[in-house]
Amino acid sequence: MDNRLFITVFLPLAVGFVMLFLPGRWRVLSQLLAIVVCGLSFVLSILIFRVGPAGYELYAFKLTGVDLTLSFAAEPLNKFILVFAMGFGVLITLYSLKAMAAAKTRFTEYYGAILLTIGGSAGVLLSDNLLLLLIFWEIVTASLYILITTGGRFSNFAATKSFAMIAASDAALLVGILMVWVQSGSFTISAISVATNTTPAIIAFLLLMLAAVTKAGAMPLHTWLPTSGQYAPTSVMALLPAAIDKLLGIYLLVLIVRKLFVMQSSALQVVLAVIGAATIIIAVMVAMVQHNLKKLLSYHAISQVGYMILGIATLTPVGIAGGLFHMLNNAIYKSCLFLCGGAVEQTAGTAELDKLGGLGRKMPLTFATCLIAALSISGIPPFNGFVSKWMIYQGVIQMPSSQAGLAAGLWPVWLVFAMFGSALTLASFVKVLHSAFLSRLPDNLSGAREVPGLQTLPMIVLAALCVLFGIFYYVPLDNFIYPALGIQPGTVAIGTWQSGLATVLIVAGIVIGLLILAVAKIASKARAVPTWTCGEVLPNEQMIIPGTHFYKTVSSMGGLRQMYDSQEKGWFDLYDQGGRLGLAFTGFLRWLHCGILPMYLTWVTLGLLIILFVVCRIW
Amino acid sequence: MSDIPLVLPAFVCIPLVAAFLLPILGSFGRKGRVVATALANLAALSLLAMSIASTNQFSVYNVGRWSIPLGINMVLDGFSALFLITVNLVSSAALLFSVRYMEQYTAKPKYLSLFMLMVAGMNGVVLTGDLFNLFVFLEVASIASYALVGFGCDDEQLEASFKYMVLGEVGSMFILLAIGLVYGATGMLNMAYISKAIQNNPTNVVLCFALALFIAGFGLKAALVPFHAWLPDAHSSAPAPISAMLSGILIKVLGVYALVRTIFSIFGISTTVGTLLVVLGVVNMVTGAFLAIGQGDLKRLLAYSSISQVGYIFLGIGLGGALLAAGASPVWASLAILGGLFHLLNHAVSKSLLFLTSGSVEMAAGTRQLDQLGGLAEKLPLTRASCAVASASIVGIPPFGGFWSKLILVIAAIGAGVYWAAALIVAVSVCTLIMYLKVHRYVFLGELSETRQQIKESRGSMAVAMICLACLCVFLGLVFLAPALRAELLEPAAKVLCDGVGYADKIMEFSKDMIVCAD
Repeated sequence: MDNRLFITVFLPLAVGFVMLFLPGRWRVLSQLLAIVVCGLSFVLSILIFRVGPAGYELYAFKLTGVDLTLSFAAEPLNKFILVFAMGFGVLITLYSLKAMAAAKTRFTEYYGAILLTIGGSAGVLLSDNLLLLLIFWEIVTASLYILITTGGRFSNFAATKSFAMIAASDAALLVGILMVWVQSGSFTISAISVATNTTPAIIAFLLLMLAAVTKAGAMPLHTWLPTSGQYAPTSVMALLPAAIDKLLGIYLLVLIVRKLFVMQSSALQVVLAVIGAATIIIAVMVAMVQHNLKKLLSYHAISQVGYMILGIATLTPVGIAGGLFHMLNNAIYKSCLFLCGGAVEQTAGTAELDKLGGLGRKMPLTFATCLIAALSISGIPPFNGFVSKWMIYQGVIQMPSSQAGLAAGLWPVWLVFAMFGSALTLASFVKVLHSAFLSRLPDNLSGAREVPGLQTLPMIVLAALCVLFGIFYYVPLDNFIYPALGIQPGTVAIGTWQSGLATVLIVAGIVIGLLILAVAKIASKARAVPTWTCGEVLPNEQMIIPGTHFYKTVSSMGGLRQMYDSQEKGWFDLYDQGGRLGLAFTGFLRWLHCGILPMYLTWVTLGLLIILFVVCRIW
Repeated sequence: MSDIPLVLPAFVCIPLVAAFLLPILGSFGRKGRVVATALANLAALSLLAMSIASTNQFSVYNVGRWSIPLGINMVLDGFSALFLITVNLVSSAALLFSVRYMEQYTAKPKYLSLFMLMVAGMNGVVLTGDLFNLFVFLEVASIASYALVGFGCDDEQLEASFKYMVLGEVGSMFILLAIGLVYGATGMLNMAYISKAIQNNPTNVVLCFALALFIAGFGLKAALVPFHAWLPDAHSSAPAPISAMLSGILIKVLGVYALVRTIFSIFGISTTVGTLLVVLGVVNMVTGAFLAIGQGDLKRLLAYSSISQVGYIFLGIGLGGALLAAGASPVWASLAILGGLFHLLNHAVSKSLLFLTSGSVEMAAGTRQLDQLGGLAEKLPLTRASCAVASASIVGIPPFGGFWSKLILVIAAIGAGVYWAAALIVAVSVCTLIMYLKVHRYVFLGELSETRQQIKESRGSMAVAMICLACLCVFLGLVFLAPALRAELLEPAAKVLCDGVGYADKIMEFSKDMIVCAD
């Protein structure tokens, strides 16, 4: 029975790999295999969480000078993340059964890549060896590429960009891992502890951090996320960038900060906190002015990572616990939001907010789940996003009392950024809810209907989790987060907030609001009539007040406008900038290769001369 | 074990005899051509079987029973065995692919003949223990390849062939001149004896000059950067299976093998030469990668990628050599060499597969311009899958072979404290990824044009050849992961290079025994 860990990782990988090469039209088989294997992995992950086993030695492997014992280990930290990762796998597969039915081909590829993602992420989480972790990490990256390419004709560019950017961070991860290995003499995660007081150690830390934040989607290598968000299937976005990539990236970040390194450098803490705070505020500013639902959600997926990174950067127990909890919560509500977005797009045929409206009546379940998830992401009590954000704020506030240094001294800055980001998040979701669900229904969408039950089920499950984790926040904290961080339940002060009181206040507020509305309606005797346009018949679309204009004032403000413009042109996109530089260099090299034979012969002569010089002078 | 020495000349004789027999057979009409094709494949497969059987052995064969240094000897050690397997593996696959692919050309028997000649030359280069004999085989293989590059007889192909020939012969002249200088300085042509003579007289300026000429000459054959200008033209103009041969093995045998053998086994590695190889390797990696990214022609892109990948091989071997010469860390030196050689094997398999798939694409779609292709994934699923596997291997995505070889290289570089080399290896890997993503994006993804709705996937021998190589790409990771396979193939090869000039002693000892036996 000891090979549960092995099966959880390698069964999905093997099945998924084989499925990639099967004919693309084998629809039923691929759906069946995917759902069975995902379900099995989920069950196994729960078994691993509850009863173990603790470890599995995969392969002891010796190379001259390098001793590699590839092994898996189930620790409190990775066990619970594993359960959630596998759970997302099941939910998204269920959702895909209907959502991907419109596609004609490439079924086996899609489901094969989903299985590769599942197996790969299980591998990343369970690996007790950094090299093994790297291998699975790259498998997840490659399967993201395959998944994005299934999104139709425009998705190729997004897939290429995502793969290139994440692979660049993977390359950093490889070098970082080997630098850690040189300094600690081991690849085994549980045996490594490097003090960050030498230059190589700091470089290694930064390299590993770059990989973690890129996977999670934070700045500076974040631009793959909105691009793929726009073109990839939403189920893919819900599975990888919204859920599993966050779990893996933050898992690695916690690993780096808590296990692999002993943080002794305040500068590194400042770097982390700056990345966190900047990510929160810049991404949400960009998200506010987006007109495409999927792209808007993608920018929020970036912005939320900032909270997790900021929480971990505080290095206080409650901050790190909050960061981890936020990772979990974010995966839940962001995945839910993407699924809702996918449902809207599937029904309306577009994700442009201008062309949507009034879907709340047609798709009540989608609306309800989307509302819950939107309130969660904005940090409204009593939903889960509030609890974890609250913990992060507490972590930031506690910084000066437990540590000295620049990072702790700047705590008001971090706090302001985090809180302001939360407000802007709410603002942008007001826009989403208004434009998609509330304002007037365009005529062409009058036939819109709720998506099938297989698609609403995952959304309902996720929205229920949002509520449950918000009201009974101590259940996940005591069962998952505190054991993972080795914190005794009850020893951490998470502030004075009481969910009971807040819930009562909120409910009271809502009731009072409804009462005012009712009173106003009765008192004014208002009646709803069509807009009078001097007798002219105007299409309904022209009479809609779209939410896309909500924040026009922000984006047209002096100073900010230029920033938005250059952001739109890709001036802040490291991928575009790197591409321009690379193409300039390539152009120079191509200019050298003129195709004229005597020129090439000149090169040969010159090369010979150089070699003669080098070899004969010194040898 | 006693029958092995007899087999050594067979590696040269079988293809050589086939090369002259096949055109004769081919002149007997259609049936003759079929028999000739079958025989050629049989010959290639038997060579492959023999080369697999000859791993991890050491043997010397004196041609015509003339004892060295008077006669010529053939030497099989770990290093040559690795190259023998690589050569015969790729040539079997390319020949199998040709069966169907070359139907679109006329004069197939002539093609087979030239192909066999090239194989004979390469096997000879790998096995010979005599410096001048090496030059002869090198010329046999080179001249056959000049003819094969121009086999299509279009303007473009003839131009490429001409350029290739002029530059190639300049390289050959460098080598010939160097051999002459060595002969003048030592009075020997046998590698083992030259090596002994150089050890006794290490500061000879003439030998220095000869070494520089060797590096330039063999470097030209290996497409090291200032000498690489012929490669993109030649490799993209040749018929696809020939491109696979040229990129997959020819540059490695005539360039890498000959140069490394000369430097390590004859002259003895020094820190300067090791560093020079590292620098050349790095320049190759970077230049090749950037040029490849800018290409709009599928086969030219692959050709530039070969330049980049050869850089990895030289980086690994040069780093190992420099560390060996410095005597600082033999562990990392042998690891770096191992990585370089393993990458050579991986690159041979994956790049030849990529060229075969490019042939399949060109045959189906009629063009190899990236901007005119697109959406072929649905029509050519097999080609696409093989291309994906090969790209994954060459880019270094786990668990494919290329990942492991690059991993060893990075481990060795970081272990030895050469951080910048490690950073460059991974950075160029990202560039490699970008270029292959570009290939997939433009060739296989996107929209299929209206005119190409009827195109057909390649079948028969072409499909079999691609599937075989694709499976190899997947399983080559095992060569590294399974200790038994590694001990059979890679470690003996790396050990030969680590022993360096110990090569001479080994051969002389062996020959002495043989003389005693003969008496």
